[in-house]
Amino acid sequence: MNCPNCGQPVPEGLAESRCPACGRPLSEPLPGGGAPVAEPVFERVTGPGGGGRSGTPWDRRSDMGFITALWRTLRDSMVRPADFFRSMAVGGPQCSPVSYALILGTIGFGAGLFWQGLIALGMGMAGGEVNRQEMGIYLLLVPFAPLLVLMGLYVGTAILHFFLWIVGGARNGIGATFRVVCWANGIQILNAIPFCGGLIGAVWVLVAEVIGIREAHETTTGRALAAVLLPLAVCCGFVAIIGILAAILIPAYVSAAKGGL
Amino acid sequence: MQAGESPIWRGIGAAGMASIAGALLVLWAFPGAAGVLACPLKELTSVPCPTCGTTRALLALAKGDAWSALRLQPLVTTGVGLGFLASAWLAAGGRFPGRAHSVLRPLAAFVVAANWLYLILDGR
Repeated sequence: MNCPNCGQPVPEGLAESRCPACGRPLSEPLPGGGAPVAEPVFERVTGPGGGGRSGTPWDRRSDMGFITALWRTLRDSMVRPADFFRSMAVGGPQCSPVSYALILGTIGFGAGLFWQGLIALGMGMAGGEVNRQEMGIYLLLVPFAPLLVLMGLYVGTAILHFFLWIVGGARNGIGATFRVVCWANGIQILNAIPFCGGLIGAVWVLVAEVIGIREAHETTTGRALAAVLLPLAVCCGFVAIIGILAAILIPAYVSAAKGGL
Repeated sequence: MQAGESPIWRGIGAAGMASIAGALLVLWAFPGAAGVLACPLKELTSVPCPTCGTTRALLALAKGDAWSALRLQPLVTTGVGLGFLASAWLAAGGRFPGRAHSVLRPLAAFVVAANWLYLILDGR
């Protein structure tokens, strides 16, 4: 089936009723809605590990153009993550996801360091204490940003896959986890937004990773959520916080329910 | 192991070695830059979280004081040592079996719980 608006082929079994290429409703062609494009956006990946999944726009950057492919991949991974990760290949060469994550991740990481340094400098100019060592480390890290992003991709994959294995959700191998981490890492570009961008980006990446793990490993949302949040739980101990809240809220709920009877 | 995963395991090995060595090097060179953050769980409940003491243990490791590091945070210190060895093995082409032994999963949970209990009993 092709989209009535843009003419792009629509992958079979698409959960949403919108075209993954142009985002318009499949059932409601717009008046004069765009000339059909001969070049398909989604194409079956026939390489090793393709497994009948469609590729991402970035996989087709040589046909679509660098900027268009980069933008569509970022947009799809942020706005339609379920369809995006469902269409992602879970195997094959690493160069496509790694190059995408390196470009956007490095920009985001560099921007994050820039804002951190600027805030530290601003605090010093406002009369606060400037931590020279802290600023020195920021400056020292900037040239190593691509290397640090690359290391982060691999270390992040190892941690995420370990916890996915712990919860019994690792069905498609570490290649699938690695690709989810890479494609989701592009959202780190939000670090370029001053002050709140880092926090928004971090939450958005977590959400994308949960959906990506679920779709790439064909596992449940609960297992994917557990795999992504368990490393944070181990670090921040919020399992215990949830336990404490449950210990307060459950008796309160039970006594309220008894009072209502 | 699925096709195409070999470079990923090698990459994880190389990144793991670089991360551990790099973190210890930075902590050795700039010990004052490692801000020891107050654990939110301990602040709220006086109970340490499972990773409490990690920064102090890494600082001790960076100084070469492995015994103090082990006393401060046994799991992280052992994990750093074993992680470095496992990373070197992966980078050299070693591979984990596709399906892990069934006892490993409960063992991992037990080790984390035992470490946490030690931190609580030790009064961290």
